[in-house]
Amino acid sequence: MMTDELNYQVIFVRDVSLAAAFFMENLDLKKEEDLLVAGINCPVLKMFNGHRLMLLKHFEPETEPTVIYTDDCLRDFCKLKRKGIEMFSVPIYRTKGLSCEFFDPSGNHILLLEERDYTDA
Amino acid sequence: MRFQKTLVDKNEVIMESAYEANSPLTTGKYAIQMIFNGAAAYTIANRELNLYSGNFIFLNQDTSYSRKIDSSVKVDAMSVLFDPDFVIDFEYSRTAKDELLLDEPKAEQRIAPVFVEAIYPLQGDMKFNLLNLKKQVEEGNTDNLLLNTYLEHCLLNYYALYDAEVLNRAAALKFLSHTTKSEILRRLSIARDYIISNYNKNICLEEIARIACLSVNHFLRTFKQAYHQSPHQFLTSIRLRQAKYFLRNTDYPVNEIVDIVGFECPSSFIRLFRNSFHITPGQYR
Repeated sequence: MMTDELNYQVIFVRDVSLAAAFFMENLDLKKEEDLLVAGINCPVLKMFNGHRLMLLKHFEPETEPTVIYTDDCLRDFCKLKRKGIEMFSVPIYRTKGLSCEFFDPSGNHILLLEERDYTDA
Repeated sequence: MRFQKTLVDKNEVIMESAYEANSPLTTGKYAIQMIFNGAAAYTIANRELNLYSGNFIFLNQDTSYSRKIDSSVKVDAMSVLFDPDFVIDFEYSRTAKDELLLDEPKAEQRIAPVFVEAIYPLQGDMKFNLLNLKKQVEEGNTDNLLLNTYLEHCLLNYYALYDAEVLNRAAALKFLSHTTKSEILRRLSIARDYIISNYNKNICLEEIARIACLSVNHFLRTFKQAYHQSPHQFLTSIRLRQAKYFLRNTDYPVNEIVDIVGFECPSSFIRLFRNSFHITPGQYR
């Protein structure tokens, strides 16, 4: 599986506990640890490919899309739809793989990406 | 082990794992038949084809076919069967304008599409989606929304592949008549399937041309126009691709793989492999 060099990203969320529950329940991210940053609890979640997502309490959402990697975009797309989460793109084929987009409960623009290695497929 | 799942819209996913099995004559649904491990012999209308691991064949709804598995290794096969109404609706929603889809949401009185039936390598998005579907079925997932989403995407992938492999290749043929182009490509597809199906045997050009109902010269010229390579180059590429499969998925010695895929001597195989993939078979393994 292809991985970018940067495998640690931060996302601003309104409520870290609710956001952590959202990502773990809907996208199968696993909690790796709770970091204390300036006395504030910041959960670190691990994606299936080893990339980490650190949740940081902040009232304004990220301005740039946050990429969350998945091993099956269609599965997660159906799961999110079934939970009533509004998707603003159906799964789209890109040069890097299959992706769809939605807003998380904090208003962050999430790009859910199933990376596909087409070189030897 | 046999699994059968009938989905909504009368589509089906059938998975089978066996050393020996005989499937009865089947017809009535569009089918993607694929083999993940080993090989299976198909009788499709009046054609006898072998489907090897890493390949799939798409069959029309009115084609009658049967399958026989008789193998020393366990064969993993998967069939995805599409109900004709599902394919008609899919094609209608893909081709009709938005206004028409709003006025007439159902594809009433539409004719079921007829595709040129051919064997394709299982690669690209089709491979990823089918493997994800296989995984869900193996895990016992019965979510119809999810399973049908996979099937819709498999059709989407197949249409993209069909545009590239059939329609664009037919367009590349140097004939004026559209009907002639389609007919030549249909015959070339039969020849291509024959080569894929018998890649490990000693097949000659005259035989392939005869199967395609074309003269040798006509066959050679049109094959090159459509596929940008000679039949011999195509046969070599199939042998090399199958060799890659055996290198990656088995522990057979290289000499044995050379024999299995139909090359005559290991040194020419190694040279061809290195020239094609810029890596030796040993390094690839």
